[in-house]
Amino acid sequence: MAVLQKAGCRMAAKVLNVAYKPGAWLEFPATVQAPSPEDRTVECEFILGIADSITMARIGRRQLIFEMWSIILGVEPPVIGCKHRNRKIAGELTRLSDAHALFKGIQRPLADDDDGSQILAYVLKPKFMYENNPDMVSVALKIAVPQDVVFVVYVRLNKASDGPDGARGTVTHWHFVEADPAFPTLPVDFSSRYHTRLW
Amino acid sequence: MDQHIIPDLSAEYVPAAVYLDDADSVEYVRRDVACVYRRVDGILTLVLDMKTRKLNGFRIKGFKNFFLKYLQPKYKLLDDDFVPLVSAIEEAIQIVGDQIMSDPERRAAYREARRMAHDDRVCIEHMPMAA
Repeated sequence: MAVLQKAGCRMAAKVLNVAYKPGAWLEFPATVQAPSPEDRTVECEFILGIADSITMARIGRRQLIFEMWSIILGVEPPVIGCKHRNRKIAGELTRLSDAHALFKGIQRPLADDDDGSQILAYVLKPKFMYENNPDMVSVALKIAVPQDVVFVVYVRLNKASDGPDGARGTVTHWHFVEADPAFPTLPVDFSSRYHTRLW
Repeated sequence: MDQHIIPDLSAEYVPAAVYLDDADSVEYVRRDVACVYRRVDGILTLVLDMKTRKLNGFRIKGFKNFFLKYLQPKYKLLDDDFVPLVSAIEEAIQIVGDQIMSDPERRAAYREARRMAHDDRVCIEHMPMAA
């Protein structure tokens, strides 16, 4: 009987593509690559702030974490059954390196930055993402992103550079915002929302 | 992550308002779904359900300064005290005060956020620490 159970589990694991261990969805890379503020053709590195993701995971919120995996890191969320459930849904994911616009200064305080002047806002236009949508196979479902939104990733720059090889800041948070009706690849009210457009 | 504290993927989200350190914001949503964030001003952002565009929650930004400067002294809070979310949004309304009176959209946004905080009766968990 035990042998049969083991065989059944192995079969189920194979069908559901159980390649991930239970906590894999919270094992984030330490850093992430992005186009540099000065020159978008040159990549730089930022620390991936994970404290808020862990806080959200502890209260059962997964959506913003799935957005990080599928839009910032450009991979499916490492959760059980994800690959199997979404195997027939085509469509490329984006990653932070695909950002097409960058603003600096969010015109409001963020922690010790009184006016948010050291905050970068990277803008992406993802076509696909993963949403928190539990079913019998997996909790993650690949969906198309509405055309009238853009995705913004915020980075807090370090006060002093750690040197040429060091990370230049920390990715603090991210979310979708409505796109500007006149400039659909940019956030609504982008001219008053941010201080400067870098590229 | 420690194996003993790995959040269970089968656990359901129980609506809670939490302080997010890196984002320096308190965020509350009723449902854990994909959302669009609509900026109201430098303090308040409404969180809308991406599919329906109906209000799903809100975010109070720059919360550390707001908490240490206004909420903590006013309510004489100790480290383990809970702050009702409705108190935080009411304090924010006090701060923006006259500015929202002359702007119907901002006024409506604050009113919606306050109503949600009042109706849902949640407290803010994990408050910011003084530097």
